[in-house]
Amino acid sequence: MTALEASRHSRPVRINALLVAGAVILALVALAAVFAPLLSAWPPTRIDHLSFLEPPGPGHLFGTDSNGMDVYSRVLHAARIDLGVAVAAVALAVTVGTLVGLIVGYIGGWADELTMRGLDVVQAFPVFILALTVVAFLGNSIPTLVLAIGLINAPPYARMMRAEVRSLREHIFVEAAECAGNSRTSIMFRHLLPNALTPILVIAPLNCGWAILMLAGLSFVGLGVTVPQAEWGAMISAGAADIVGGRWWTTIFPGTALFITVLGFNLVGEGLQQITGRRR
Amino acid sequence: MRLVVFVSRRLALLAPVLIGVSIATFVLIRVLPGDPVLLIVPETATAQDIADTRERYGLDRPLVVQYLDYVAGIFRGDFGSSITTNRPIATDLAQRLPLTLELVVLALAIALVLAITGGLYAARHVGRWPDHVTRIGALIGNSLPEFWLGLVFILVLFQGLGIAPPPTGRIGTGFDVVRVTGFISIDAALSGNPAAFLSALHHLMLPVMTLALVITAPMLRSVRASAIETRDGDSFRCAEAHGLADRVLSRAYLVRQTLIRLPTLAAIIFGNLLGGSVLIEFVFSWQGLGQWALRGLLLRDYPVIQAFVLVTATAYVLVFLLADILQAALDPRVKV
Repeated sequence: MTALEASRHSRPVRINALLVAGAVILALVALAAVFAPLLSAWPPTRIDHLSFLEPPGPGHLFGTDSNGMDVYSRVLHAARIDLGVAVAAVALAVTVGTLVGLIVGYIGGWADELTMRGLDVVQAFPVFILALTVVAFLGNSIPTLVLAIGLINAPPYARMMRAEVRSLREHIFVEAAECAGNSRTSIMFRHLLPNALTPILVIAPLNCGWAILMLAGLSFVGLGVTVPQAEWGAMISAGAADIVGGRWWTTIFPGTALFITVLGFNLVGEGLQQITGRRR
Repeated sequence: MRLVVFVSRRLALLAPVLIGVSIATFVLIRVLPGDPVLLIVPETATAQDIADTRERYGLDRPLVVQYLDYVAGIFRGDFGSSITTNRPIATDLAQRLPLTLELVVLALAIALVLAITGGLYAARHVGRWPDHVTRIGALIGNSLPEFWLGLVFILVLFQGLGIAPPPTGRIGTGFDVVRVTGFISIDAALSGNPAAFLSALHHLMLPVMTLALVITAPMLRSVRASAIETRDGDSFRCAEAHGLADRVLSRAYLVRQTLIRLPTLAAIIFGNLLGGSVLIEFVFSWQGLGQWALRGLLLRDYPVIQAFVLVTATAYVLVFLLADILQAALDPRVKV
């Protein structure tokens, strides 16, 4: 064994700093979401009739908003909705997109052609505008928001999967599997899917970041989650009126939480891209 | 000649997408639950009143007839009227579109300049501090919610330091600008009123800054990455080994190859900007297309929503076409 080979084999697994930083941020946010009731003395929708728009202090760590609700408690509890909706929506997008891309990529023909033209039309709409329209009509319950954000984010996955499958389809291992008499379903799900999944799983964390921003944006303009439910975008929206007058705490705290969470997803996404060699 | 063929072929491909977009918009708004007629009629309306209203707006006709009528109207410049204000949609569009375009185009132009200069500079200093600053900046910019950033700017630059105007719309109060082009800053300049012109520019400052900063991030990353890729590529190293002058190397080899992918990305960003401008207009009480659409969405004013979605999607598709053409012009390898 040459020295070069030896060094290659004994090379320790490199720890990616971005990935670790992002994972730590997301773990903290997830913990805050899970233990929110234990970490805050006030329930998120309880009104303190003695203090409206009170600045941060010992009684209310992050102050109170114009409804007399505790900002600290609301920022923590909001992580539940924001993280939950974003992760669920991206899971839906990945599932639907992957399935569609896998099937049309493998069987090809008119189903493929029709699907791709359909995707062309869907992707001709700017995503946020499509989200606004769908949510305005379907309503703003949590399951509807997950459904809308999930389906709107699905087309890129379908395209990615289709492209991967179409190139994999030509490989000899697929031909071998076909000759061995495997069913189409088995070829798609046991041979093609596992080999085509990497690029999709690398994009998913970045997509979670966009999904949170989309949810917060919808709530910000009043079409997503609404007060008194605790959600960062809705809190920022409610606090926007307090800014002129210098009452910063009702917008700065939820906004910072939103920013840090999205940053966490982006760090993880960037780290994964570096590890898999998709970005330098 | 090659470009002419390319453009005409792209235009031919565009038609089915635009038809698809118009059908999708039309069907989407009618299939989704929520009957607009029930929102128009008063709560005491009888079944007969509802049927009359439906007939008056032509909503009782078959969908295909309604669609063809709608498309025929668009070709005459008639988008129908709002069901909540009764104003013709075309009038509102003409008034509000320039306000949104001013924001979007300025932000995109500034972001392109920042991304290209910053990205090339960072690529020239890989691994050193200008590069680190660029990468951290891009990461932060990619994670910032634009609507919140706008509010932070209002808090710091208006409320705190007092160097920005209040977020109360397009221009300060008391200025009467005659509409010529619809672009307020241009109209103010044309009217020969320097105070109005300055006020118009001043009010552009925060919203444009917010949008530009947020969209610079992804483009900066892309320019940096492709500049590094180009510089490490065979053609560039070969040219360098031949001893070409730095100026030739950078212009003919580095910049052109680096920017090949930028038009497509900029087109995607343009779509994001159209969406983001809805949020930014909300923050700055900017009476553009976004605020108009938002009111329409909240009141389910379906002709307004339909026109908004159709106009933004068409603009997005056309910008994509432009990006494809630019890319074909930059890159001779693009297949016609």
